[in-house]
Amino acid sequence: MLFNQIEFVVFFTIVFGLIFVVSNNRWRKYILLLSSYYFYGYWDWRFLGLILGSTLVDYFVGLRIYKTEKRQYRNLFLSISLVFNLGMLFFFKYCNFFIDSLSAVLSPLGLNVSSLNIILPVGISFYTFQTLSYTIDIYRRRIKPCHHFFDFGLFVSFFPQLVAGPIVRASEFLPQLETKRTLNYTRFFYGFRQFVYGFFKKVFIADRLALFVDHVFDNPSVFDGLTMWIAVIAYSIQIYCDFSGYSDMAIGSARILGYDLNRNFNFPYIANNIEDFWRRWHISLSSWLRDYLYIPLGGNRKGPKWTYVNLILTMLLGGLWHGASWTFVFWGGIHGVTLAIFKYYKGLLRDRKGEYALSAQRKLYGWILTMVIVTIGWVFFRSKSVELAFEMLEHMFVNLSGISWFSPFVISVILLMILRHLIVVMGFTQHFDLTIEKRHSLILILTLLWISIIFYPKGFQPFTYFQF
Amino acid sequence: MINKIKHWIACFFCSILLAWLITFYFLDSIVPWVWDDQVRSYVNPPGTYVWKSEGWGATTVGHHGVIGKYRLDVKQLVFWGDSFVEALHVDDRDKMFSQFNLQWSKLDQPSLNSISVGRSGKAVADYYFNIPEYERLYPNVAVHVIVIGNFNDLLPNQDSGHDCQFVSDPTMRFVPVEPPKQKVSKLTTRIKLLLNRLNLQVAWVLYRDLFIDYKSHSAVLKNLRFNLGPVEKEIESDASESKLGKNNYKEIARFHAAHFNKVTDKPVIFVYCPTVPVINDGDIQFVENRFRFVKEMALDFEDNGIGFVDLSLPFIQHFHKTKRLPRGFTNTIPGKGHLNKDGHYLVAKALVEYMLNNYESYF
Repeated sequence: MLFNQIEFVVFFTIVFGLIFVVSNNRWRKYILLLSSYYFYGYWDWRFLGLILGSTLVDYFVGLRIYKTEKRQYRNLFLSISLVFNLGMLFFFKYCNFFIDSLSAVLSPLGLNVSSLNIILPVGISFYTFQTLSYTIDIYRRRIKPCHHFFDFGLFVSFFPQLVAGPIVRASEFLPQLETKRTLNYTRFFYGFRQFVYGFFKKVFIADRLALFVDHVFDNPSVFDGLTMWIAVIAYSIQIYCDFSGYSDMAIGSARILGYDLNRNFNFPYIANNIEDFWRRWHISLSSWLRDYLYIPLGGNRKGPKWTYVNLILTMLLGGLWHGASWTFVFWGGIHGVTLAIFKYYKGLLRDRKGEYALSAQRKLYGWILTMVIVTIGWVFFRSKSVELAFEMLEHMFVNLSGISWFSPFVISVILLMILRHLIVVMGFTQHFDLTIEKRHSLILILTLLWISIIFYPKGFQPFTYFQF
Repeated sequence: MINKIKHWIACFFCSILLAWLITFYFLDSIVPWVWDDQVRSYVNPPGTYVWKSEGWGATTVGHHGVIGKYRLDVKQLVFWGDSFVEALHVDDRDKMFSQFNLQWSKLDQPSLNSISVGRSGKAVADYYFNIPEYERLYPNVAVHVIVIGNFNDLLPNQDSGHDCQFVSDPTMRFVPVEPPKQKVSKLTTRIKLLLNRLNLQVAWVLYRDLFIDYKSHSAVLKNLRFNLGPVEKEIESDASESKLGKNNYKEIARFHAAHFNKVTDKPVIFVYCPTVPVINDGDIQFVENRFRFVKEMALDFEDNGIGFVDLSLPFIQHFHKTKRLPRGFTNTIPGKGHLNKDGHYLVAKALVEYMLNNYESYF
């Protein structure tokens, strides 16, 4: 079930209605848990077993790790959680990737290895990371385990964030389940507002941009250089609006139901360096990678060279998390190398006090460079193969001739996005913020909803991050 | 609580008004069909229609669905066709009839004025049915030009066509459709006309998208699903290829030629607009899969006294010269869909050249 389907509106209305009517916190949680399992089963009931399995394993492992003092047994239980979750992720998501890669190496030797017929369960990358963070945090003694199985089940399967994030930490969500959540008009208003913002970004902007972007990326040798640049910029906007739009809908839905999820995007395209970009883009994932991959690898504790290696390795694996394809690894590699270079550059620019400051002019150059690198990274992220990505880059920088296609809608969206980001940079956001106190806020929010419905593109466009 | 509900209701209606103000500039006109007793067919009623979802154009339709200015004082050339001739996607001044008039007027030739009679969804069988009716109303028609935007429109047993169907079982024949296909109720037509007059296209768009099962719309409220998945997807076969079946193109061409020669004594020219050049699979495709059949049919039509203009070469030459494709628009996909301004110009130009080269047939 997708947030932009009418079925979700019906489903959510019923769930919210039940939550509103039922005042007992325990029964509310049962309703949410059953609703979440229905939400996931709507896609494919056969994979409910995977979520249940992950829930059972990590619930009991969490309890055992907490109760056990002996290091070897703690390691053993943590390993069980890691093997189960990563094993599940590997089998469903990466098995065929490695089989196909191996096949490419073995076929010249006359050996054929055929891939398996595996369906990728929706959201598996998200909920496995979520449950892993739980067991690892218990292992590190940062949190205590949850003693209520159904609460833990709800933490794993909470439908607003189940299939495409944000990746929620147990330390942030489980305490919210312990007390009855307040449902009031203010919460409803801001939740609804955020949901509509997300819906508009996804349906009106991202899905309509996809019509242009898909065609250009599918035929990179046909279009001219300027069209390619417009397509790549359009894709940057598309993926931002698609994913942040989904996150907004998730956060907004959760807020209406009484639960708070952390923001997942913070205007990443105003970042003036790659480090800042990753503090603003997919925040729940980047913080997860930092806490559970980069730091355990050693972080910056083993000297500069190992810092760079750890950064690159983290981003390579982060790229692979996005999809079983070398294009994602390439994308991760670009960001990893850029982060390492930036780290080195930052070290050079630190003054005697150990502080890092840039003039406005250097910040502007930094922004331009960051956006060029991020944009080039998106070429790999979006392309179906590394070869096509290079073909696309060739048309962007070298072989510029071809058919021109300047879609008025795409150009308008690019200009509007620039304006929107300028408003943020110049600090005028509060003037445009649709708060509950302003009487016209609801009119404008509902207008955005109407425009999204009226111009709903024909044909199905899944959330980009659904495939992860 | 009551105040909040009142606030929501008030904001709801204000937002509808605001959405209407913003969107009506970007929405297509509603194009209703009305039954015309004089031509015994459904036509677009008189009025001006704007189209913005594919291309950007304004079309003024006169009586009996005729686009363009009919003139009693000169011979008329009539363009027949489906949405390719209706051409809501381009302005009237860029449509093939206007381009033909402009190009022909620059020549030292007997006066000839062209008009269009086109409606979305029509096929060749319909023109066989419509031509005698229009010749009765417009006696100075001198030439009939039938524009084919889709090769399947020439073939039997297709889904297209409104007033007449071309079937081949057991033998090839044209069969009038009784009652005419896509008959619409008078109430629906009145509502559409009223919504158009009040610029309330938005209401129609919402109703259509939520309730109506057009081939390109989802009829969202009709297709709700609440049961658990997975849902087995029906594999859709390529409709265009599966409906082709085995065809004897020679026989088909002879059939059309014989019937059009019977139904009118005026010259008939078929103008074929190929789908190429088109962007396909990472490259530009210049040759249609069915180009051989088109060539065969062209010869058979000519042998049987029916003109045939194949635009394959002019389209390709135009692309090589200008890097512009004759189909598609910036707000859809270049190369796909209906003819754009360039495409209409090329149709008119090719037709002018053909008529000059075969002058004796037409004057």
